[in-house]
Amino acid sequence: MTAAPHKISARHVNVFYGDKQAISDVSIDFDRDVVTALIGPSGCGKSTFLRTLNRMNDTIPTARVEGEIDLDGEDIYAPEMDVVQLRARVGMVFQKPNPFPKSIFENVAYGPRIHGLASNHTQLSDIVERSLKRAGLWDEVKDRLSDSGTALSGGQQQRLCIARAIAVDPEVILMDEPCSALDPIATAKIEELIHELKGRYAIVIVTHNMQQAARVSQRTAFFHLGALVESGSTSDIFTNPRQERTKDYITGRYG
Amino acid sequence: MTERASIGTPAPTDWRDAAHQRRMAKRYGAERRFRWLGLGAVLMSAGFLVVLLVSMLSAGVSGFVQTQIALPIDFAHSRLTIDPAKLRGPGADLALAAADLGGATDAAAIAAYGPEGDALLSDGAWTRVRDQLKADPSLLHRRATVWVPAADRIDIAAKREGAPADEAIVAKLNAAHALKTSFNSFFLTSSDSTDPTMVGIWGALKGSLLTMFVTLLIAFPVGVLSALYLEEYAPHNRWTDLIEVSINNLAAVPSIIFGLLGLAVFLNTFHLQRSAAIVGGLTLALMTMPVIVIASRNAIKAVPPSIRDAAFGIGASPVQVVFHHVLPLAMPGILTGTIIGMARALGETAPLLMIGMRAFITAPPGGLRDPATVLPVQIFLWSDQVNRGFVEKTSAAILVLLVFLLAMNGVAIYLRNRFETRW
Repeated sequence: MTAAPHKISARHVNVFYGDKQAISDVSIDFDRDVVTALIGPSGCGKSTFLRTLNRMNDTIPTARVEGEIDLDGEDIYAPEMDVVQLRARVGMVFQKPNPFPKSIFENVAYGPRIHGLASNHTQLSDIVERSLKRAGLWDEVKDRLSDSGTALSGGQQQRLCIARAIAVDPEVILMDEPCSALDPIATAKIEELIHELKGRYAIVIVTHNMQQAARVSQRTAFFHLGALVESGSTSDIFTNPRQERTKDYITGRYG
Repeated sequence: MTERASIGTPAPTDWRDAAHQRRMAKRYGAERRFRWLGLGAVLMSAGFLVVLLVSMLSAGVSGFVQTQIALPIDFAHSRLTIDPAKLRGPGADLALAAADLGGATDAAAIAAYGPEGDALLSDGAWTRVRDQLKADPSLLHRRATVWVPAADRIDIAAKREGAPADEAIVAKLNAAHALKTSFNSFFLTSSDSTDPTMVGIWGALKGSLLTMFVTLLIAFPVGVLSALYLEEYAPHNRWTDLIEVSINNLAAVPSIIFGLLGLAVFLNTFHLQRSAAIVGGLTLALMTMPVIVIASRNAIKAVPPSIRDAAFGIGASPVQVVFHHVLPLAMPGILTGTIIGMARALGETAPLLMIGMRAFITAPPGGLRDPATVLPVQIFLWSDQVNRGFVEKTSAAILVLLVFLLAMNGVAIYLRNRFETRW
């Protein structure tokens, strides 16, 4: 399956909430070692689309997905696809930091534990340490791993959530406006972290912040009213958009 | 477009004019009145609680105290003929009863206090003599003084106001130092009796314990699992709406109806033992379950969706999400609902009357299938007695019930605080 040209490729994806169509006919590819930014005005469906990539929409009873989304050439909506494994392979970081009300160690160790990635406590501790280091949080929390994860600051909580996501060794990380609840300094740290993580994972990030998209991503996709208007390399989208709507949006005419 | 005069630049608002002052005074007044009303409500309920506790304590404490009479018995010269070897082992009670220890006790009382002497003693006084003999068989060969419970009319005269004749007897006995009051440990260790000086609460207490055990064992898991299923798994359609309405209605059904249900189902259909703790427990479980389901559903609903997202997002299966995250976070609320439901079940009388738990039972239940009664039913039965000696026993039993209730709530609050998560 390594022959698949793209890490994730979505073809003619439609998403419905009841009778209302939220996404219409979106086809887009996401590559390894690339950060792709999904931008667009509020309510344009970019978060909805992001949530189709690891089937988080399954938890919403009225949501219905049509079309095909392949991960390494396998259709993730095929009946034989195990959604639990899928979500381990495609990790997610949410808009609001949502650590479990457990210790910092337990927050990171939870994923490896339920997926059986560590056979003893030493291995588990190694995974926790490695993940926290990779998330740039280790130096700040190494002396208080048994403190509650909810006692950290907002930016630290979000990095803890990133550490939690990478602890299960995913192939793709989905980030749904990961900095929208954070102050500029914490945001800068997360962006730095995205840069460092880029070499290991395919990252898809939804953001409202155009500068952030320009700073962290190599590719950008612009969504409007549930449709994919334009996608391409970030520099092209920002300097030389092909579509009038894209240009209007990134120059701040609406959105 | 013509501009109306009122639109345009308005005069600046004068926040100090009389109208604003009046509005302000009114607002402060409303705040003050509300605060006083709230304080009044709290004080009123606290007052009722104090009145309840004081009246129960003043009437009930004497129920834990017993008047005893000194009874000199000369075992060596009594009519009692029994082989001391028989005083050991399980046959001792039978042997002593057969040897007419009761008659010997009455005879000793008549010898000590005149022809009416045996009427001064409680009907069960000889059992106390029996216990003494069993504890110390050497008594059989000598003269000894045994303290035995006084008859209820003497007991009442000694504690409060009795009939003039009884008061005179009490005065005489007191003068002879033949009367003492002591803590009635018998009240906590024995069961129901027709003689108020011999009654105890242990049978009812144990019945309550067994019944609550069954109730908790059935109602808690079934209630919590139902709530989890309805909240986390069940599709939202007309059927689940119907179930929800039914559960809410079930929580409001009068308890006696559950008694009839228990009678019809557990006794008439399944032919379980009448008056048994298991039937009582099952019946109360039916009554408690809706309360636990409703409280648990609310507690589960209150778990933030972001936690579910986080767990699903990392690849937890639905069962893992429920048992690793949702249930622990909902546990304090679930336990609160369980406390309320169990406290209601503990104080329930009506449904248990329907399934025969109001029988006169003189031995504590040995197991779930033995005839049993429970504290509130015992209180109800004693409050119905004509004999005045039962008045203080009723209050004493209420005190025991309140202590039981407080202990149960204490355990539950302790557990709830242990599960409490700080965000």
